[in-house]
Amino acid sequence: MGSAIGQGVSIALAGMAIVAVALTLISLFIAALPHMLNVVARFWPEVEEPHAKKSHPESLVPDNDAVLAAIGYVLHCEFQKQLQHDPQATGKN
Amino acid sequence: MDILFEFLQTTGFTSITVGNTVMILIGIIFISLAIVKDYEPLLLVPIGMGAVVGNIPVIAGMSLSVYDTHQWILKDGIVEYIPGSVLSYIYFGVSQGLYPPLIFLGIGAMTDFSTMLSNPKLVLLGAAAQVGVFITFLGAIYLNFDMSEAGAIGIIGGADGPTAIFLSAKLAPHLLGAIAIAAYSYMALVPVIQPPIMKLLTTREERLIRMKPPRKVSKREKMIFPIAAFLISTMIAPGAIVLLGMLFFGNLLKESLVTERLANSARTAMIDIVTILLGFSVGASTQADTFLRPQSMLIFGLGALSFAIATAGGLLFAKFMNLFLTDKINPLVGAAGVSAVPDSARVVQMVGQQEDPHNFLLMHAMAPNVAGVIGSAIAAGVLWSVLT
Repeated sequence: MGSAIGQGVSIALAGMAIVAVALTLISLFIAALPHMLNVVARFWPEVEEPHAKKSHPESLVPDNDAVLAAIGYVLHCEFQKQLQHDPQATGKN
Repeated sequence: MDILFEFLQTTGFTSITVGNTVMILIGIIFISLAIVKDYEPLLLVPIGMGAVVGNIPVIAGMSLSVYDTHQWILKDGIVEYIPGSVLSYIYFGVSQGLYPPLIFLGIGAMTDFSTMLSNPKLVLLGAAAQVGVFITFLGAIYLNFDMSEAGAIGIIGGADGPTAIFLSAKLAPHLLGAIAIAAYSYMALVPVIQPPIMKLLTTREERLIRMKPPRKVSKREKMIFPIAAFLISTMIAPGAIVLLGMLFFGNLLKESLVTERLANSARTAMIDIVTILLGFSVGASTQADTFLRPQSMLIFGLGALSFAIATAGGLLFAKFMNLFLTDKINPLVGAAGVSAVPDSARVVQMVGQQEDPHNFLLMHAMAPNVAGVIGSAIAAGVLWSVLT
């Protein structure tokens, strides 16, 4: 019993130390990460939402810009057609 | 008439035991708690229904229980395959530790580590709360559990159901039912267990501390974090590879922004399916003859102790950190280090707002909360590798 508790105490102390070391290293890495990225950003600047603007076939993120561009293009074409049929709309005689 | 009597002999009414009845009642209590009190309904309803199903007496010779696994038998010089029960195949994912990593994948895909990345010192609170795991481990050894059993019981203090199931499946499969039920019961009871300890160990002034709002975290940080954190933690504790690998893989699916469909499946349909299978089969494994033992009562007692110690550990460490910090931490957020995502963070918010309705601690509490998930997985990995 005494030896089991002794062994248990060793395992418990080692376990707590390992958990503490792992999370401390993660914490230090997180703290250092913005500084590292600032250096990286000098050579490779971060583009705001670079991926969201791409239309990945597997992505469910709606590509709002592409939809707006398509609507704009259709409206433009329709407006051009209307101008051809109704020259007065341009103000020219 | 004989056939009728023979059939009546096979009904549950003739062979049900007091233990089965108690377990069926416990199952119904779980379901009632979930429906009436809204305590962890996604877990307690499947577990409760599983407990009811698992405690209907089975007919001798029929493969019905989760423990009726498939067998290979040698008969007349020929190896014959005897299939197991349907429930045993569902339970296979629990007994072999398949479901917990899949749940971790879903958790990773739904977890936003931003608050943790914006305030890295709060990660330490997730480590401090793991003291509950190791003190309970010692308590279990003191109560004459062997080392492997003690390790499996100790992880209840990690307040993480999938981790508890994973480790007990590896170290003490015979205690899996009791450990899983204890872990999930106490997770459901976090709003009851934690507030008295939080109020006992903090002053009103400490509970009123307001913390700085978290800074904005860049996308690059979020993308790099899962890979780096996985490498750091598993290089130190390789036993955590399975759980942390899936957790950080799920998070990478979310943060990479190019696999939104996979992340969406992992955090919705997949985690729901696995939760149903895991909850139901764990419930079905709580058959009276394997569950209603003095050992189970001790496990429940140790589980309550581990939650209390873990909560106290996080709180006291936050107070200790405040001795050195200029921007003080509200010590209540230390209680969220026990994991139990997101319930313990919600409890921190609730207790904080009882003192100051305009103090929003939820975001801050999420940092030690997710750090607690990582910490408990590392603790499980350490115990698994040391005790195997």
